[in-house]
Amino acid sequence: MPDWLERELARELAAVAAPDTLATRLGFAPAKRWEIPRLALAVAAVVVAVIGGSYAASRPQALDLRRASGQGVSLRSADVDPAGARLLRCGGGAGRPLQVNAVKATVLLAHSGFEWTAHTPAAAPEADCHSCHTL
Amino acid sequence: MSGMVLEGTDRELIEGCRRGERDAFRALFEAYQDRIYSIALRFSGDQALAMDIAQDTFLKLFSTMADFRGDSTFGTWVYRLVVNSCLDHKRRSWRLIPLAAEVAAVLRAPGDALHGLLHAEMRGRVQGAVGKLPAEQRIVVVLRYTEGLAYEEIAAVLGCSMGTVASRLNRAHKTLERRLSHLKGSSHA
Repeated sequence: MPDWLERELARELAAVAAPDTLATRLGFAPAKRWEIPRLALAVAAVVVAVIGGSYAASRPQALDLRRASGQGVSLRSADVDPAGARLLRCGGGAGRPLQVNAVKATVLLAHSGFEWTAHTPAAAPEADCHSCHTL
Repeated sequence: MSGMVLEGTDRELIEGCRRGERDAFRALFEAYQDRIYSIALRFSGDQALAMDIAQDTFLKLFSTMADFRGDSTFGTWVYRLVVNSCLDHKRRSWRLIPLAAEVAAVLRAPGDALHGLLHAEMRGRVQGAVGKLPAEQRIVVVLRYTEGLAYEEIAAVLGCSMGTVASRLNRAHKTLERRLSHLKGSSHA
């Protein structure tokens, strides 16, 4: 046999080291888990919290006026003219439906509850609302 | 048998394995894993298939430890197991896979990528030529060049005469010389 072939075979067919996965397969080594760095997890959690918090803060939370006031807010054509009703949106605090006159109604829609106590209309809801809103 | 590092402690390890001692199994595995995997890889030409063959060989080794009676050296017995596993595994569609794996290894490795790619190409051709040999010739070539066994040792593993080993090796050499003649001038690379 020529020397070049002897060299090629000896080199290209040389022994190799068994991969670590063989030991894992046979139970001699624990399987390597793909671990996420804890720092990355913490950063991701903070980012999610910040984004979620800012989104929640910027999104007004609607209040059910019927629960807040204890009164129904359904507008029936017999009482008011729904076509003439105006909706006002309030940036903070509670609100109530206000009947300005017999046929024209303005409904104050309230949302975002963190200023609830400072904005809650008490005995005279119309007066309280007028302090913030021009109806 | 050359290269057997367990000659002095084979008996202790075998006895430990027969008693079910995990440390004995582990020591046996660590001593033979490279040898068994290398034979499987060079015979099959495919890493995934070599892993399967090596795994099967170890499972046979551990499960049939009681059958070893010392008629041959323990190393020869282990070689027989891996050879039988190689011959038992049917050849699958591995011809293109080794080259792809080599290329991937080159791409991962730092250094001279072109040289590595050429080396991978050459290795793929040699492995491919060996892979086309009949199984009985291929296993002789692998035992000879991967494990460096002498004719007598190969004959003991295969259970045939030295003359048969020499004949198979001679035929394999002639075939490989013809198929790899284009590498004649580039063997220094």
